Amino acid sequence: MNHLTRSEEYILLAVWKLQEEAYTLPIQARLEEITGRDWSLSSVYAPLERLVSQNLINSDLTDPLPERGGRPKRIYRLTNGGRKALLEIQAVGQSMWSGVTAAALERGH
Amino acid sequence: MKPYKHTPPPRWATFVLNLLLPDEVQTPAGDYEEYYSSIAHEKGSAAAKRWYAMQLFRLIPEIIIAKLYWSLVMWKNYLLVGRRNLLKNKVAASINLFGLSVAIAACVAVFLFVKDFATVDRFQENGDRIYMITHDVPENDGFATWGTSPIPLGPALKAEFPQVEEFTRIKYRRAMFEYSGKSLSENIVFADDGFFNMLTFPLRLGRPEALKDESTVIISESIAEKYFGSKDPLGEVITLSFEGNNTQAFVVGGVAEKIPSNSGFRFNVLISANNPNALPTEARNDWGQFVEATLIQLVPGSSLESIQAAMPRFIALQNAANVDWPISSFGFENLRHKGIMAFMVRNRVIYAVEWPFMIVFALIPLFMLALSCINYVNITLASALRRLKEIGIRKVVGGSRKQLIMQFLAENMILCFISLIMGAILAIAFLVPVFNNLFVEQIDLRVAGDWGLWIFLFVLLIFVGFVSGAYPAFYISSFEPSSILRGQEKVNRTAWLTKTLMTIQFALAFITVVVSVYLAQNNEHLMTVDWGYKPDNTMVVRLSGQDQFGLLAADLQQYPQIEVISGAQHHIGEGGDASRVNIEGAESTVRRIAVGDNYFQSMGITIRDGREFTENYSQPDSANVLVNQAFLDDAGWTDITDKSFRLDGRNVAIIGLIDNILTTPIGATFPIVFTNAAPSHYSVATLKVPGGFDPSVTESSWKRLYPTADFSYYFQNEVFDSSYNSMRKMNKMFLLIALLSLVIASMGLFGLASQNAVTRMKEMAVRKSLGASSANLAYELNRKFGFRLVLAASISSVLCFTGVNWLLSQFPSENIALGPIPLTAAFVLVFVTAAVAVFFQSRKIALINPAEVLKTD
Repeated sequence: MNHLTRSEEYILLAVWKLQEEAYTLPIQARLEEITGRDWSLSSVYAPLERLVSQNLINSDLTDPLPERGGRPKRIYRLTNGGRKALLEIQAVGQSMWSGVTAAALERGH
Repeated sequence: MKPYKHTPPPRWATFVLNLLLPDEVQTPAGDYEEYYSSIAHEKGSAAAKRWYAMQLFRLIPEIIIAKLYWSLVMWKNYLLVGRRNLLKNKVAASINLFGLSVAIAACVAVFLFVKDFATVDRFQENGDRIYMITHDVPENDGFATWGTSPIPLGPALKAEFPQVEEFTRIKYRRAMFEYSGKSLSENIVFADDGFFNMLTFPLRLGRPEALKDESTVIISESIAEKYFGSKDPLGEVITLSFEGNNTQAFVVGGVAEKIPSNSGFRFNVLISANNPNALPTEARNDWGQFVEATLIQLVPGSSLESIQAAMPRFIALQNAANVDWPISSFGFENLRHKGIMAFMVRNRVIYAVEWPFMIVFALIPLFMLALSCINYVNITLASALRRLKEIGIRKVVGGSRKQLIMQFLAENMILCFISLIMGAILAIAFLVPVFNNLFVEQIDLRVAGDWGLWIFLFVLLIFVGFVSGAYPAFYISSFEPSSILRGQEKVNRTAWLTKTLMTIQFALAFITVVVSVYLAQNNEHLMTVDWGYKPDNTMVVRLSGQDQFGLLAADLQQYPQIEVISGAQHHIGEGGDASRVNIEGAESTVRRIAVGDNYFQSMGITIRDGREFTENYSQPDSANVLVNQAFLDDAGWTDITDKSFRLDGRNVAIIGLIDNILTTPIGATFPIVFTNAAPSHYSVATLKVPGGFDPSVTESSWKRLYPTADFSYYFQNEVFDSSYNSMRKMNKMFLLIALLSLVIASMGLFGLASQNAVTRMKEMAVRKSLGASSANLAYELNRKFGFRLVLAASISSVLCFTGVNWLLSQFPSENIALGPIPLTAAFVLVFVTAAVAVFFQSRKIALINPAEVLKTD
């Protein structure tokens, strides 16, 4: 399995959650919302490019829109590979986290 | 997103974004605009602008990295394709490589030399505050500037002006340097206490304060090695015998480090000017007498102004003391910034660069570089046809013009880079040693730490790459793919340029050949010019002590085969002194040669009129002179009867006349005055001996008198040998330059002819199949080259003729006029090499099989 970075993982998840609204701005807004940190737009573009080149997502352009100064949106969608990757991440994550509770972590052992 | 009123971002913001992200990347621009609009809606437009600016700022590093990455990818591709193309067209590549390497080698070598000259005395740390005092003396219509100065001037300036921090005078004398049995004549420099405080000449051994001691010497590294070998010279006692039989013992108090090659002043033996041998006591306050140089150093931040304003007082003092050398003004020449014309200052002991010579010297490699660049342009343009399809395809599949230009420039850069390395190696391994051998000046070569050289090489690479590559790159990349691929594009559009460049190239080669052959011919002529007397039977013995001549002459009396024994203070062929002549009010400077009694007889020089010096110096001959024909002509006299004039303030009468004999290796006939010298001043003894005389006769006499001193002699016919040797070396160099420029030009022609042959292959095949003979084909093929060559030759012959003859009229001397020999030589050489260059191509064309060539169509 391909190991994705955390930001790629977040973005992949965000793309899936946002569905038809999955273009850069909502993705960035969601990342900021969830992580509570600032995300610059350029820090979203690069992982998106990498995911596209790994065939985990693909993209389409919409019609030109007035609120974008007459430019189209680029909407991202998960490919089958992308969905498989998310499933694997979930599986790995669950088995990694099994038996680890917040209370135990705070206790220290 | 909730609907709200759309606010577009300000124009500057979108403009900068467009600069950073080219227009085809639409998505981010849209994102930014939408985001901006939403922030403007929520927090106001000021916050939105701040946000936008911040975003742009954060974009920059990522953009830079992306740009670098893609340009690296592209460069790798350019270089790869470039390498393939160079390997495919080996003939053109090697012609270019050879020409450029040679030209670059010449540039590098000349750069190293010019840099050495251009930085003369720049290493002097206090140089900006040090001035050499010069003075002007009226002469003919203008004035002449001299580098010498009155003896008391330095101390007077130091005493009167608080801003004069230090001063030093420079006084030269010769003396016999003797240490443990080894005794040789050396140049002695006397300097004042300020010398080491002012000038940056670090000592390897000892302390600079040693100069203050009158009986201490500071010696150079070469003297230390010559007399002491590996022994520590510090504290050793040496003796110096000055003219006038003054012998004094000195302690070695210091050894100087090697003086840099770009030092304008050097010394071998340095002694305090307070030593009585430096200046006679009575001369120390004499404004009428001179030292070789006076240097003053100003207090930091002070100016010369008040000193300059006070100079008329010193001029008056000097003029009163020496009425025959009326100084009109004093000048101050900065040690670091001497000025372009400083080399014109007469009798200067601190070297100043002869800029006109430097410029001519620097022009030679630039010439060659121009020839090579023209080769590149011509060959690349001519071979463009072969690559038209490549260019067309690249354009069709989306290659931008910029990329094509980069491709051609990259190919050129590869070539230039290889040439640069080869050229630098050639220069350092071969040319610099040749130059070092040619000039008296030896340059130190430290390649590794020489930033100037590396920067020069880099600039040269960019310059050559761009000058030779730019036009072909821009031109070839401008072809339209549609017309290329339909086969309509004609390369003939550039024919005029190629032809013009070729004509210029051959004109340059022609000029180089003519000038080189002329200079070589002139040098040969100067070497065979009639000396005006018979130098074969005169033996010249070097003297170093006051009483030497008298003792030697007395001892030599026992050998009857020595017909005449005489001597001279200055010797014909070894220079002389400059003296001022005043003929009925007309002032001029002439060369003065002080000779002994019977000197002319001993030299085999005929006295045309009158007599030569025969009595002793105490006799009235002290007010008599001999002159040469040139002097008489300049004065406008026809004979010497009852002629007298003023010489350095004394009335002198002409008692004899000689022909214009050769006194310098360049053969110029100067007006010369011969004065009488006392035997105690003789620097040489001149002996008239029969042919086949054995010099060991004289040597045995010398060894009896001076067992430890070296015996040094030559025959007068060898007096110019060292100059002649360097002239011969120079001839070789001129011819080498001519040959190289010819070869570069011919190789260019060869490349052009071969490209031309390829282009016209089909035409020639059709001609041949219609019955044209081989000679006819060769004629058709090379017609335009022949015409260009004749044009180049005619233009440059006219240029050479007028140029050289104008130059000759500026420098009257024994030079020969530019005759038919150099021109004929150039014609033959240029046409033969050109014929060789085109021969192979013509032969190939003549032998083609029309069926083979035409069957593809």
